[in-house]
Amino acid sequence: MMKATRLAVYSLLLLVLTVGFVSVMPVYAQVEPFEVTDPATGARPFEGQELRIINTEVVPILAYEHEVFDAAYVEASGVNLIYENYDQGALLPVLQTMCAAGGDDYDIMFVEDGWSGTLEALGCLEPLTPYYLAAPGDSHPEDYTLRAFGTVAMHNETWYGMPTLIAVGMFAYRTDLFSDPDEQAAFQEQYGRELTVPESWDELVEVGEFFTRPDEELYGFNYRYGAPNNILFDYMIHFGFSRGVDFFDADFNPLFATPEAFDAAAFFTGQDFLNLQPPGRESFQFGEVLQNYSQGKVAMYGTESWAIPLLLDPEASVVADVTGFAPIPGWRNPETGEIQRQLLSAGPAYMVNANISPERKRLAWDYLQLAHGQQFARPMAEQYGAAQRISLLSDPELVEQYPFFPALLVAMNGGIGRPSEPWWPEAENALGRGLQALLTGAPVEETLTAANDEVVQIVTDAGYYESGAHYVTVEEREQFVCDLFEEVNVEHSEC
Amino acid sequence: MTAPTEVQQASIQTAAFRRWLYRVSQKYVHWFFIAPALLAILAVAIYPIVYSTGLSFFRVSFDSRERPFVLLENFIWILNDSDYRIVLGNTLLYVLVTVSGAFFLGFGMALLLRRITVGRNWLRLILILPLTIAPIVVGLTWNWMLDPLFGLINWILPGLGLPPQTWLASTSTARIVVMLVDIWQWYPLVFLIMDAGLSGLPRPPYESARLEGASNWTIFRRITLPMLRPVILVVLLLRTVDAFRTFDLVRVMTDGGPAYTTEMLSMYLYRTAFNFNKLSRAGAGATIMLIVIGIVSALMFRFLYREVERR
Amino acid sequence: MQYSWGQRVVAYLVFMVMAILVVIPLMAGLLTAFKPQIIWVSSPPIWIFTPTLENFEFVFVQRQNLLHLRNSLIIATGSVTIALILGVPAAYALARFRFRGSKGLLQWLISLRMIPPIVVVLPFYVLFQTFDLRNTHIGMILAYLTFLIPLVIWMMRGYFVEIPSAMEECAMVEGYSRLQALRKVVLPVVTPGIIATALLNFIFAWNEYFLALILGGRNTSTLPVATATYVGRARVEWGNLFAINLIIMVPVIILTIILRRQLVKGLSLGLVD
Repeated sequence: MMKATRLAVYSLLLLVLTVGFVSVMPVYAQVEPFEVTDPATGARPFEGQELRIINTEVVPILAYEHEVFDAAYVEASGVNLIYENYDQGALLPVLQTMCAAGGDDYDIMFVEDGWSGTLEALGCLEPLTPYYLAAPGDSHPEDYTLRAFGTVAMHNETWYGMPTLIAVGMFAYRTDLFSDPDEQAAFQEQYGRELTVPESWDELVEVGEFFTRPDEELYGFNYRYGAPNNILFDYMIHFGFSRGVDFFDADFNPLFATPEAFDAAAFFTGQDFLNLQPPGRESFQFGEVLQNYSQGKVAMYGTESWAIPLLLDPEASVVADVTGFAPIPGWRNPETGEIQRQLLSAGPAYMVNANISPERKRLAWDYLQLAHGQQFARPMAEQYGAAQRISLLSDPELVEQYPFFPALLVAMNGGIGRPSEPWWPEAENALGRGLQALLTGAPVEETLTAANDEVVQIVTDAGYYESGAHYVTVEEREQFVCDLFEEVNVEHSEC
Repeated sequence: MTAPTEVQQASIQTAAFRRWLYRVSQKYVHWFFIAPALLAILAVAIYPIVYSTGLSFFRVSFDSRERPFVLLENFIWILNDSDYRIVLGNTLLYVLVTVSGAFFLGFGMALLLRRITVGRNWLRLILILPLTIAPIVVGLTWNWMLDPLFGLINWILPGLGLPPQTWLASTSTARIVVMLVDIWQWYPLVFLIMDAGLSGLPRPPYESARLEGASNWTIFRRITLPMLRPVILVVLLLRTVDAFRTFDLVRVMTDGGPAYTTEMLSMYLYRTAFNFNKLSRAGAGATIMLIVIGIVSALMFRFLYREVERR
Repeated sequence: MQYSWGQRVVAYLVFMVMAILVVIPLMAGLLTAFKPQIIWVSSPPIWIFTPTLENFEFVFVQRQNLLHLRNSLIIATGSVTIALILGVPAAYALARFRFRGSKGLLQWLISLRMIPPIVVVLPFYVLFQTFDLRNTHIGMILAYLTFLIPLVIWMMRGYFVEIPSAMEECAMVEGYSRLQALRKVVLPVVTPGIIATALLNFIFAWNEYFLALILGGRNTSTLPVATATYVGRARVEWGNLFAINLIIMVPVIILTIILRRQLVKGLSLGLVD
């Protein structure tokens, strides 16, 4: 070949190779490997520095975590933790205001799964993958179930945080009532079958009827109807999902005007069902239903996993030693006779503020990998029965101490996350209010169809249909997590 | 007289200057008094006010960092929103009921206090207490009192032969209860101010009316009321403006429920801004709210000043 | 005025009822502050129990609300003091001097009170960030001034208007400057008014929640903000909540008791506006 042509070919080859190489490189900024705190070796590279956390202790588990994790971290690392506690309703506005103004007042932020969309859009969240690659530490992200990790720690395909708490639905019941021989006999007589913890909706109603005795101030069960998001969650967690309802289909069309949705809603807000619950139920939110159960006013209670330590604490609950847990009752498919169960999972994670300096980001990662890492999680599980890692939920010693751990693991494996788009709270509000209208006797089909149309309007306004946005299904979310794990070279049993 | 020397000329000029300065400063002395306050307010308040009014003309949200200019889009959206109309109606009803309720109750109590001779100061003190408590605390205390299963009220009712109620859960009672709690907190303010007004009334007109044999009612209508007019208007204006902004109390008691029957304007704006992330829509709603309050209070103001001029 | 014996009895009865309506909720709530956790809520309500101070210990030690108390004190007294220092002269000017725009200025100042805090929160935040005022006491005080100064001016102006200008004119004839006349002659007369204004403004600043929430930080979180943290999602921590309520209420009540005479006298002075 002529010299010029050869030169041209070689430079073209070089160009192609460079472009190819660059496009394959990770999209994040590189972080050089750095040292992290390690109690085993006594390494304390961040000693004496200050870390600022903005947090909420809206549920006691978070307070316990602060006690156990943070204390252990401070001792191991010598870092000074500066800690600000807000009430949960106020935390989001503070975060939104700070992020919108590009503030760097805090290094670590408590972020609920539903908030990650808006905070990401405001450019406030720092991807964690480069930090893991530079210094994995004790974080062990593969020690969470795929669905839980995908919902709580990631927003779509990016890893932003370490989970602090995974909330899944669980069913609490009064062991004393269920194992009492007189009750069992009476039930056998009245309903012709044995008194067991309900597994399906019909059983739930029967047992609920049996235990509803207003003169004794005892009621069957208790659900949350008081605020739009409360009622929507209880509807979805306990009835919607198991009946086959979902939030959206793959093209973001809302699925609240389907026959299954009407069916579940009619059941959940029907007068017969409401009559088995304590008076004032239409205004109950999280706090009231927990209070009612822990004061012994209801026989069964659809709760969330983070409430479990409270229910088992003798100082907070009069029924602490007679409380058992089971999976949530599902819908019995009339054709197959099987019980379908599908849950909602949600939860907060600690995320790193993207507006702080690179050195502080490394410090923040050091906190995340150790304070919320594997070794410190064990004392937390032992002391309070609060565990979210697979290794702990399947540890034989712990299971013996807390028999509900396997059920919790099953629940975590089966949870569907809620949408975390920035416009979701508005849609959630529309749907919740539609459900609340049913309590006052509005016709089911009309009301839910109207609510559904409102959500369509909201999604349209947000430009999602135009741009052909795609709703991440739960299987796709699992795939995102598997892709992440592949990228960072860890193995997960489900991938 | 000899011609003034240079030094004398200079001192004459300084004296003239000083005189001129004195005259000018006397003319504008009021500005010296006002300047510090005005500067402080301008520094701190102007920027936020301009910003928040301007906010309504852009699309600012917590979803993104882009802020496009959209002239009236937010206003159109808000005025079309059926929720906004419901909330506006709720708020106007709330203001009307709570302000008039607090007014009549407070005024009535102040008048009744005239009839009490012993222990006036102690009664005043006890009655003022709700005023001094933070609205959040008031809301939470009453939440606790009204709880269907654990509250004091429902525990007392059976003793009186009435069934326990679910006060905050039903659409019919929630509104009334919240308004009653608001009146509970704020009628002491009316009471305090009207009581002070009544104590400050001059004696002579009453004495001459007594001599002429007028009845209590005529005295009240012809003498007391007209003299108290400015006070009444001050109290009404103060309470109206604050009632429009009610937030803490209602939010903590019902959070707008059930079914938006107790949703107030400020809560709706908060929700739109921080829960739904639409900050500039909230800005538009707030601007409209300011216009409404502005009109209402300007009318009251007019009335008030007219009375003063006449006196 | 003459009142019949029957009218007096009715009046006493009504007052008793109203007093009970005030006292019972407050006492019942505050009793809870001394209850151990297990009986914070119970059905039926429990009145006989062994009181404990554990709620107070939790609130002050574990949640460090002593810090919040300190912040509340500094910010409330600071903002009221500065509001008075700035507002009283301004009110005097608006009362005495009729200059062009005085009425408009007054109306504008009072309309400032009508601004819903939600909308000014973000610009305030940005302002704080620019001047590095976040988490400083002076920053919070400045933010509160926006709402306090108008009320001070409005109330004090009313008091000044009541006093005939003949007073200062007499003093000025005697050779005092206007400022001296103001200080020596007018202010002493109007002092109850100042006290009433100060107390009402203090109540507002002390109980303010929203701005303190968003604009506050570790060094500037006030007691109302701390109160809200006890309204958890899982449950309201009633005992802790009422413990903090007690702390919030006590200073204001004490101040009101001490200043009650001046309060009444002050309010009766400046009601013509």
